[in-house]
Amino acid sequence: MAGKDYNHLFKLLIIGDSNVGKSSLLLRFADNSFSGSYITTIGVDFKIRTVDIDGERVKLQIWDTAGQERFRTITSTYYRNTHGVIIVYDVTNPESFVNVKRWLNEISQNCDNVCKILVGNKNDDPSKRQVDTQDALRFGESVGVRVFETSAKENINVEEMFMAFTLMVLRAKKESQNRVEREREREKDTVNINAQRDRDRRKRGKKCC
Amino acid sequence: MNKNKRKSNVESPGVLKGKNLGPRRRNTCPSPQDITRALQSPSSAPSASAASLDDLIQRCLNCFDSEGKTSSPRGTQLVHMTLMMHSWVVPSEAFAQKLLTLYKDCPSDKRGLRRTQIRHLARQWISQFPAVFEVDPHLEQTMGDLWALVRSDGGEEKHSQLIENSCLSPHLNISQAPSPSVKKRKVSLIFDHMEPDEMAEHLSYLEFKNFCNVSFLDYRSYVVRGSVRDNPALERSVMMCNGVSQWVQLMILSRHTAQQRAQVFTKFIHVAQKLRSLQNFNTLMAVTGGLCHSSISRLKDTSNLLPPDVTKALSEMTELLSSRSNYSNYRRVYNECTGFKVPILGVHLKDLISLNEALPDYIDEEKINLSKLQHLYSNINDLLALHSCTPPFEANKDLLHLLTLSLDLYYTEDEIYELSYAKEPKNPKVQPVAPVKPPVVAEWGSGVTPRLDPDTISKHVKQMVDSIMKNYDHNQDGYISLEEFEKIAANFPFSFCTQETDREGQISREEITSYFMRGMSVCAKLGYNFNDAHNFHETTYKRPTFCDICRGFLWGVTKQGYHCKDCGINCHRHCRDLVGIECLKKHKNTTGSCPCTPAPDLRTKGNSWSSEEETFVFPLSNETEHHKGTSDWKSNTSESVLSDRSTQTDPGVWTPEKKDKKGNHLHSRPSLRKVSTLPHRTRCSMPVSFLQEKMEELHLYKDKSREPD
Repeated sequence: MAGKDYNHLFKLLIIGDSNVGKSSLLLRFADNSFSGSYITTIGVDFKIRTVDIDGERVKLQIWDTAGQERFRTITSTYYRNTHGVIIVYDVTNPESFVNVKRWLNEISQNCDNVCKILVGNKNDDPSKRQVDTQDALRFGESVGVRVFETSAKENINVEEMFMAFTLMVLRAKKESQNRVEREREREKDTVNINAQRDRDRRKRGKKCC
Repeated sequence: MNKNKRKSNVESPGVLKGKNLGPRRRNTCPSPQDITRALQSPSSAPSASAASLDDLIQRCLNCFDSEGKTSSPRGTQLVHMTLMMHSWVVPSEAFAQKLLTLYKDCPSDKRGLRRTQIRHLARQWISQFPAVFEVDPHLEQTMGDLWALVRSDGGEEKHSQLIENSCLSPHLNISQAPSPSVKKRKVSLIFDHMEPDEMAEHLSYLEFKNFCNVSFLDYRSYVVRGSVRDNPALERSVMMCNGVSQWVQLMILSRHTAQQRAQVFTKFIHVAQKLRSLQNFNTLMAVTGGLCHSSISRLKDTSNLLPPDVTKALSEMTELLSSRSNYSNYRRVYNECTGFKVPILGVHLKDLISLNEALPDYIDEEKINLSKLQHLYSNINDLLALHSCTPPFEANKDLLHLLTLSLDLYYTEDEIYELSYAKEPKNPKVQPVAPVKPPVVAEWGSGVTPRLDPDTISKHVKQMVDSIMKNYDHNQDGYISLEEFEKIAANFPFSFCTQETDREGQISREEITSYFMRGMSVCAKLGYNFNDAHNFHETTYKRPTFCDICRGFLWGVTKQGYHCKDCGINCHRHCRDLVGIECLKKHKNTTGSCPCTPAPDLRTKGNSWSSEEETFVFPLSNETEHHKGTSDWKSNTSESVLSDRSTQTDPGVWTPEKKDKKGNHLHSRPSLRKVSTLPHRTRCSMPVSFLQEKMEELHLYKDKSREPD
């Protein structure tokens, strides 16, 4: 990989009920590069965007399940090797919020240890709002997922949400790397101590309890 | 509204033009834009991708000569596309209004040709898309006005006649699927006797029929509204996909030994291969998806027994259907196929949604983005192409009936996993605790996984029973042998015993019907009304407490589990979703008077997230019907024996008479088992253990039912 122009590559998945605005969120973030990338034989492809975070180049591969929410076998294939899942609901549609729990359930069935973020989209018309921000935050807290409210239509908070989520995924990756390293070191230590103790024991005879 | 929404996308109107695309594209094939332009633009390339509504109508009209023929294939296509797709950006009524105005205001010098062209356009519209007029009364009204005008226009009798005629003869070919050959031969309705080829063909036939029922209006409604509500045709198609996947899993998981499971697995691989050769990718996706599901792939004993060529075939299928590079393998193969081919609906729906989302409706504020319409049009047309295909196979009605009912089964993921773990436990040394879990609460809200209404299911049951009688009632006395019946019943994962029959060793049509209705009411989640939600609260227990669902200990120091403040049951957080026991308090309150807690008041507090609140409301039944359907069912505490018997033909209600006599009729057999711990679960609609192995159950329950004697 000589021409590797990034430090990290993450696969992100956008899920949620139909018509909550998943595709438009993605489209907004992918900077409207859509019309150029459509080719009949390849279909409408997932978007790629590279962002800089903490001085590192992170390449994001974002997958959208638009239109396939009801096809259980299709959606389940998307979860493979996913680093982060963005669960979207529509703040003007309470049912889509209720179903967030189902999506969380499905995520836990399909992947272990994946970053999650909850996004209330269509946050542009206060008169139409039906899902209370406080409710969403409380729920997010109870399941340990951060909550963002966005509007793809008015381009509110979309960039911020994706950036914050990318940062979360990046941190999670580093943390798990660190953990692995620490464990490896601890293992080394353990071996040393044990070896030392064994040697001591052998010298001292059976004094240990 | 729409205009504003797309505003931001409009900022760079040149983005659709070819020169911007060139450098970005990696592939060398022409883009749809290129194709569009080549196809539709007569000479004026720049305006081809966008035009005002007036322009567009003018262009369409110009395609007709005075004889009503379109001048070129290009013209034909433009007219067809405009008539079909204009409604994505302007209401059809507005479109008709324009035609009406044009007709009225036609300058007298051009009147002859122009009016003829308008008539021809209108005629084509009505004849090619009659469905549009059926669903839109305003449009019908406007067209009626136009038509009245045409008629009042002297000497045009011929044309008005034409309009009327075409209106009266709607497009029939959409619903006219080739009828299954009515062969008189007797067929075996036993799963093991069915050849993989036969199975693939019949599944394809059902798939084909479903596809033929989906019109361009349905696709539009799905893409624009993002919902299959009020869209039964598409809903049915989606249900079939999910149904096939589940059925594949269930058929494998219902076998006792790993060897048998491997055999069924192998059989489905052969079905998949046949589906591939029939070019039915949609069902292929469903079958392969079922075989790859983790509930199946985790069965190590089974997969060890699979022959290598089966494993290889499976990996070929998954490769073909892989979502990698946006299903590039599938897309390539699909495009190469000719003739009868069934696309993977989900993949193409996603394309439609993405296109609709990504491309603006208007360019330069008021010009319709024809390029968008063209993209959508060609994608939809591709899906509709199947309507005019003739499937390269025949179907037997009886087998179709059997498969139809089999695919009506509905299980939750959890139930399937549970079954999978029961067959091959995680750790073979530890015998699974196997708590016979009650049926899980409907996993998805009604909007997400629509299920069939009771009427449809009873229709399917009736069809299948007819087929059974036709093929197995050899002396036509309304009875078939119990032995044969049990073989047929093994096609279904129902796990209760056959009821006492009135004739030794034989079973009547009514008894069979009742058996399947009972099974389906459980397995297709008919009549389950989990609106008796628990009032769960996270609780810190001060003394050791066990989960009432899985019987496991509630671990932890604080907030160990959930406690229902109404009925007092305790459970794990993760078991909360599995609670199939209705809340006692609510049940008490409603006993006798109104056993069915009305759904609406629960649904209104939609922004809470307790899973127990989402009840499945049958799409077609109204509130009163609903009541009627469930009341006998639930309010059985005070019912007499007589009323119990009267419900025997009702879906899902069947109580052994012997129990009735003992006054014990409130308990269905499964709940008998748990009666000591959960005495309030008295609904006879709770066959808790339907996922257990059929044979085991049969013996077990037969024994149990005999004990009281």
